[in-house]
Amino acid sequence: MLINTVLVYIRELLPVLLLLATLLRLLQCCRRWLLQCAVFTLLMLIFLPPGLGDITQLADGNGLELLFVTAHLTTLAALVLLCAYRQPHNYVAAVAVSAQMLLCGINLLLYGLTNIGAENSTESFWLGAVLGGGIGLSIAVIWYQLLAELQRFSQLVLGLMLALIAARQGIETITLLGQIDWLPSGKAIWDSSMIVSEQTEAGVFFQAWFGYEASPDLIQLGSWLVSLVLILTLWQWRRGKQ
Amino acid sequence: MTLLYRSVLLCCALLSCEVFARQEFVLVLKDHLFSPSHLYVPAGQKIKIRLLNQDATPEEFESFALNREKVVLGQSEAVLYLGPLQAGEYGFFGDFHPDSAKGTLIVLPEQQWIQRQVQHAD
Repeated sequence: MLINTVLVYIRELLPVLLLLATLLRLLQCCRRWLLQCAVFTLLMLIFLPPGLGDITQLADGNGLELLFVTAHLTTLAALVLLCAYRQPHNYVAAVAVSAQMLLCGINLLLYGLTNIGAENSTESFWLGAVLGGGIGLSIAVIWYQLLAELQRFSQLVLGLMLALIAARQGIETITLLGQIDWLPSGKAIWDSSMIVSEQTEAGVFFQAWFGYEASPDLIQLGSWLVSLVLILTLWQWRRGKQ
Repeated sequence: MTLLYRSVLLCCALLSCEVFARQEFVLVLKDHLFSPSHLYVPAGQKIKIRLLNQDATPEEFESFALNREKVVLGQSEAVLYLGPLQAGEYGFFGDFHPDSAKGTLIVLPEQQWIQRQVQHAD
């Protein structure tokens, strides 16, 4: 129970924390947008639980997937705007992080519903949540410092990191649309689960970072590449104009 | 405009035929256990799995091999669309109770699937 809670928290929090750390490196001048994200998260935690049942039943039981698709596309669009603007706007960063917080919040809320109040598991749940959150935060701090070091060599590092995070949004969107049968599921192009399984620590980290998929199909790979190239192109274009 | 309208209608009709043509299977979750724990399905076909969660708490159906992650609330049901799948075994589990909620989707080649259907009909 304890171990499972730690793993769930790390897995759900990592994508948000990695995005947050990367955006904090990008927008060092102002941190007010963090407050906007915190307010959004608080509002979500207040208003979401009563409506969660209704959301899941929307669109023939695919409501949650459609909400997740919207959140991924919102993050992707926000990252595109961040790379396209000459002077990145803070509220765009707030939108990107808030959309990811929505995803993470819903999953953690659902997981919490299964454990809080259950016999003999509440204590383990809270302990696991604290440990998972702590480990996630530690990874984000290391990530932030690593980006700071790598930025000394090249500014492209930050662009590449944003592009990889954007690529994750692309592949996740396609996977979700395939899951609800809005897109066909093709044959896997390769299977790298023997090298890095998605169940291992590295697999979880890669999934949170750049949407690692051990056996992607052609549409998934295509969406990943398009998102990556789009952000990198915009990043280089903006730097060329500066 | 009429042509466009007809094309959209045709696409919708084809899409709905495609969805309804899927063979449906039922997977029940009770006391954090999947039943059946080994679900047999045919290879090379699009299938639909109806997930019935009879527990009071939510569960997340997760399968890395199938690229699927679907939340199903307590006392509720959800639908999973899969395939066409290659013959083989695909593990799945309940993400919120991975120690107990485990199962395997066994995808049988066409011949074996027909044989199995005949055996069960007898």
